[in-house]
Amino acid sequence: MKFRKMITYMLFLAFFLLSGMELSRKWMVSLERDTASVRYVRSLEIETVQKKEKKKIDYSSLLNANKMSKDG
Amino acid sequence: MRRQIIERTAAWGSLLVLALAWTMGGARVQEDDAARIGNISPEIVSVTPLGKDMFQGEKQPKRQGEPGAPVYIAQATRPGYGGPLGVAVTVGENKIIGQVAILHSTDTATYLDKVVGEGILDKFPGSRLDNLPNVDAVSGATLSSNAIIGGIHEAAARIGQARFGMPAPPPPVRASEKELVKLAAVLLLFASVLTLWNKRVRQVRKRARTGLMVVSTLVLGVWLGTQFSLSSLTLLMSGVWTRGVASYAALLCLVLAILVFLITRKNLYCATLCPFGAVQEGLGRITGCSPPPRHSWIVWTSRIFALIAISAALYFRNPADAVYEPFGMAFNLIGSDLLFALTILIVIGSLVVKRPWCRLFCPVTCFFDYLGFFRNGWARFRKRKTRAMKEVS
Amino acid sequence: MFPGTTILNYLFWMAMGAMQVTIVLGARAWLEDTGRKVPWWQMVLMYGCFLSFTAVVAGGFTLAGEFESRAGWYFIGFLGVPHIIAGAGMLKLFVFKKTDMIES
Repeated sequence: MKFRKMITYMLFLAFFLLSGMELSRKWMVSLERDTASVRYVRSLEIETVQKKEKKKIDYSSLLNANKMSKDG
Repeated sequence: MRRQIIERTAAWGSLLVLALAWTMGGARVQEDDAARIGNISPEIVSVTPLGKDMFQGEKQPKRQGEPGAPVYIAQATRPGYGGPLGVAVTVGENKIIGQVAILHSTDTATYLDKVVGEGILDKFPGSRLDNLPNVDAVSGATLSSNAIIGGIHEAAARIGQARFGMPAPPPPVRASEKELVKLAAVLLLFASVLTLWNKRVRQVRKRARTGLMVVSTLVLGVWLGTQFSLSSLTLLMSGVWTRGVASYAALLCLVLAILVFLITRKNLYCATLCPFGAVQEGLGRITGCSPPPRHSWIVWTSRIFALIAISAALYFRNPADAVYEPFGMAFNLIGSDLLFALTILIVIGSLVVKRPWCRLFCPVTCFFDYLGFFRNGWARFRKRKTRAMKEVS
Repeated sequence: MFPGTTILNYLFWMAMGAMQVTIVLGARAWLEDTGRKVPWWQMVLMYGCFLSFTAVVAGGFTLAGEFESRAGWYFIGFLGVPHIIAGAGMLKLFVFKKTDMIES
């Protein structure tokens, strides 16, 4: 395969993947927007509507589960 | 013959897909303004409409049995970059702003994130209605910032007038000078392109084209940032522009490009005026590279990709959802990390093959291919009709 | 570079060094083989550009090593692209000259 042809295919593939990821990200935002109506809120109190609680990973339960499965 | 049938089916089929996306988008769950207002804060309850764009609610009392303090809420809509942008303001009896919120917007998410991230909303809560802070627009996202700031001022003034006897809100600002400059620049550039393609100036065409590309890159790309994209096309198709957008320059650019294409039968916008195309061509001239092979599977993949993007944008009623071109990143450095990577790739790729983005993946090229299909079909139809008329006579 | 590792850092820098030596010496040998005459100051300019580019890559990866990988990529992107463009321009002007093409 010629060098230029190979570069063209690689560029095309990269364009496709990057653009696809960009679009899918935007669509996910739009889907989320459908469920959360208000987009940004700033208030005197620190609370905001969109403030999402960070998911906390309960390591102890994970370890226990692992242990149980091993035991089981 | 087989190719013609495929092209015809695809052309009419894509129209059907777009219509379907538009219809399905209309059936999507959409909340009305009152529901949005009710969602601004969990502390504000019993929201009832007071009049046009005005609501009253109660702040939840800290102890049960106590009466809740009244809260006045007003909303205002201003034209943003990609269509109407709605904001709301809540004010207590003490004339102090409690909350500001962006209710809805069709501006590109990265622009809005930038504006909000720079703290444009943070300056309003806590300030008094009669002494609102002077907030500057965030550079690079001026239109979105101005829509937000203007909307908050209008909503605040609306509460001030209705509840506290303050003067009426100022009328929405007319088109700024910069907007007029943008429109004039777009008109001038298209006029020069048409002049350039006049048969009389054939001798200087090559040099003049290079000059025009440089001017267009500097004016349309770097200075004014009015290059049209797939979002402008979706904006035009969806009719959102009739409800007001902050800048019509990109739309005008698109409409003129279509007109010039239909009149001259040449895609002069992409060849001469597109700033991103000009940059790619300029880089290609450094190495003197030739265009990449454009196989039919490449062409069709990019067309289907563009169709999916427009359909999704129509479905979500959000023109910004169709944008995957790196134009904003290339000239204004606004966009996601992915677009940054894409821009870098295109810039480096332009040194190896001529205009890689234009020839391999640009949706604007696909759009003009599509227009060309219908234009050629119309021309064939006219020809057949005149031939039939002659035969009859 | 690679936070939390020991051997990878050394291997990376050894590979970088080996690549640079190969490129710098290889370019000279290739020019001699193909009979292209490039004045010393043009060679200095090209080597300078290459050196500067490697410094940019190293800078970007150092940022990544400091858990600032986003800044690192932007650093390489913003500073690396002008280097690549300048390098390509210099190659075209100094190495693949039009006269060479006519002779060949």
